Amino acid sequence: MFASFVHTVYTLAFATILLLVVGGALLAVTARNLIHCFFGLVGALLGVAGLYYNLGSPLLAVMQVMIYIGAVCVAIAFGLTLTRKQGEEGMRPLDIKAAIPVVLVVAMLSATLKSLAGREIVASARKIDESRIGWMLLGDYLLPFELISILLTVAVIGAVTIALINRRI
Amino acid sequence: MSISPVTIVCYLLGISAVVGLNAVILVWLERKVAGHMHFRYGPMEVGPHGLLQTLADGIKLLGKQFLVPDAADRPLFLLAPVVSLVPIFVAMVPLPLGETLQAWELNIGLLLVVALGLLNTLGILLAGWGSNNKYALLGGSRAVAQILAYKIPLLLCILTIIMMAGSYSLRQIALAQKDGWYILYQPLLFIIYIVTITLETNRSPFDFSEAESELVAGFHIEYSAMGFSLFFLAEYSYMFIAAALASILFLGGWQGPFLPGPVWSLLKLYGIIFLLMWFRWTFPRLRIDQMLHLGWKILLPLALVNFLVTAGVLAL
Repeated sequence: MFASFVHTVYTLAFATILLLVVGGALLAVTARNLIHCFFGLVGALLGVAGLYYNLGSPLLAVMQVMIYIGAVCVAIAFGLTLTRKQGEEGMRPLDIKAAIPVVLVVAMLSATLKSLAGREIVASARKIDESRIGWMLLGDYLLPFELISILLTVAVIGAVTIALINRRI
Repeated sequence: MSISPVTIVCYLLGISAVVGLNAVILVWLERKVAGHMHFRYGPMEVGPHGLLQTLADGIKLLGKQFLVPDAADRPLFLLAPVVSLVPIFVAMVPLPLGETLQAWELNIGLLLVVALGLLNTLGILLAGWGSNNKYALLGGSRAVAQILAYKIPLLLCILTIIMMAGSYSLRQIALAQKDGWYILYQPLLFIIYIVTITLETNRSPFDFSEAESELVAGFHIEYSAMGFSLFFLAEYSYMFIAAALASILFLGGWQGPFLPGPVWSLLKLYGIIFLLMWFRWTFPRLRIDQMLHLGWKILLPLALVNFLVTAGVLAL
């Protein structure tokens, strides 16, 4: 009895995660109010963290929450609070051009699903040791890892430069 | 995945009990500490030394009407207290309060607690924006500026400890301090950490988003009855979590002579909470620019230098 109960709970949890991802993403692109868009984005990113957890990587899930919600979204929120309260009048309504990405996404998704149809999807129960990720990032993949940090440094320097140009001293 | 549903329900009940009891005790303690620091007694009427005062206040708040302002953004306004409170139930799961007193030993426990602690700001921002009130909005935007200033020093502190202990697991970090608490090796880091958790829990001298004397009550100005009390439950629970982390990261967690583990845990934890209360009732509030200066120009370089020196010493 417990087994079926647990199964129902997991199904419900998975449905909630999917609802968060899809609903949040839809809210983020369709809402008229900027702050609603923002919280749609937060919901979608939180849902993606749930998906990572479901796929067997709690580390990635926690990192998703920490980086995307704790850092990226907070930075966006900081920008939002400094802009004028826009939304209703500041945004244009969706026009016909918005249909192009919708068609593309639907085509891609249906192609992916069609290629998967009939195949059995096996979840790998193999647990990846988190410390191995660290060893690989600082071992075999050291060069790409360092290149990414250079990219970030360049972005930071660029932001500071832009801020300094418009500053009257 | 093999934990039985009964166990999960028991854990949830236990955590809810901790959240509720902790808030009741801390609100009473806060008023008592404030009173004695002002040379008065604080609450004395309900129960011995006013012990049941918070309970009476809680019942009163339950009976009040929850009002939503006409101009408020209704969904955001209703969601905000929930967003503040819910992460706490997850963040308390990996906290070890004793040798065996831990809901779930998780090898990335520390990261989980820190990541969920950052979500508190989103609740404050939601409340600030959803209330459609200028004081609330100012409080919300201050909370966001504040999180940007303290987050990096906080993460650097935690990274240093992770480096010393060689693990993300809170249990392993506490066990690594069997021979000497990290506060003895890292006194500067402990000070930085205490300052950042005062910032994280929005407490005076850094209570910019609330700031009674400038912003009236800041982000929760429009909240009445249970909405208001949920914010307070969240605030005191975040204090509990931040103090628990401090006791595990720097004071060896549940380890100590003579007394059993959970008693040591609670002693250390409430000792740190008392320190935070002491700050609140002795220091005047800083200005927001002074806080940004402190965060970006003092705490961040100090934490960074400390991190590099620790890395150098460990490498030798």
